[in-house]
Amino acid sequence: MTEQKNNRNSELDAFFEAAKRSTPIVSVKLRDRILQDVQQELQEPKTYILEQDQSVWWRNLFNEIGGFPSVVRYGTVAILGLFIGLSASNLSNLVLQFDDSITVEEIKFADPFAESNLLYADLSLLYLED
Amino acid sequence: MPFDQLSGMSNDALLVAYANGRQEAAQILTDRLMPKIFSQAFHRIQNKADAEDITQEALLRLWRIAPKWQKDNAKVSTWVYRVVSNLCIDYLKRKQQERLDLIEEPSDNCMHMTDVMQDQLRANALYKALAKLPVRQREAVSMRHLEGMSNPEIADNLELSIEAVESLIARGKRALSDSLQYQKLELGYQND
Repeated sequence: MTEQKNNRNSELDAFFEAAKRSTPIVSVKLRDRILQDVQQELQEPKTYILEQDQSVWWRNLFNEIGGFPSVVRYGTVAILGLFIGLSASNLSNLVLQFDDSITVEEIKFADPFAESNLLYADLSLLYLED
Repeated sequence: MPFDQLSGMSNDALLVAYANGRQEAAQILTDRLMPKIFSQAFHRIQNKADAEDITQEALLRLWRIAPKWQKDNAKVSTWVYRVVSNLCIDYLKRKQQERLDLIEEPSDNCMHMTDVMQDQLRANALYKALAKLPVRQREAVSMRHLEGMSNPEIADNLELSIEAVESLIARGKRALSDSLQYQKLELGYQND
């Protein structure tokens, strides 16, 4: 079994060696072409991306919440909520009408001085002092 | 920094040096990477001129990414390996459409002609058998036995464990051996 495996390996090695031997040598011109690229690339102005720019906290947050579409969605919901809140201030009463489980006792505002004439009372006090 | 000092630097450090305007760093990187890239490309596409074009293109992409290269990126050799791999896949797709014959002419004139022919036939048989293997097996076997990489290097390039690479190579070689079994006599095996 081991001998068979060794034979197989050596047979395969002969194929690999043949493939390596038939690999052509890299032409000298290729190195020159590559080094020409190097020179050209060095001459061209580069746009450097600052690492700091990529880690601004608000940009991270913006990306975390799902980018521009999410921000638009959240903004729309917020504006709609504000609109409902301002335009339908009696909405709580509307809720009470439909919910029987909540009982509300209405207390009328009572003015204890509604019947009295304060101006007369003040004047009479002044006469009494004299 | 003198040239000698640069030549002792890692590929990553050389790329940073190049990004800072050191042309010599690119020369050293070229000398280190060019033969490996060419070998990788040639064993995949079996065409010298196009393998050279792919080598040039892969290195051009490396020079272009140099100013944006970050420490947490993959190793330079791994990055280049993936670029070459993708360029070869694109090339083969293009050639498949054009239905061109990719067999390269024998290159070494010093060898005896029959030896050259025999090597060429065996190499072609091997490439055909390799082409039948699943992609991962093919890549692992090529890297190990044609490009001379170590198992840890292959594991790094393929993002696998060393054990997984060993298993891939073993299975790949078994399949190759089976595939080449019938061609041994035709390929002059009795002479070895």
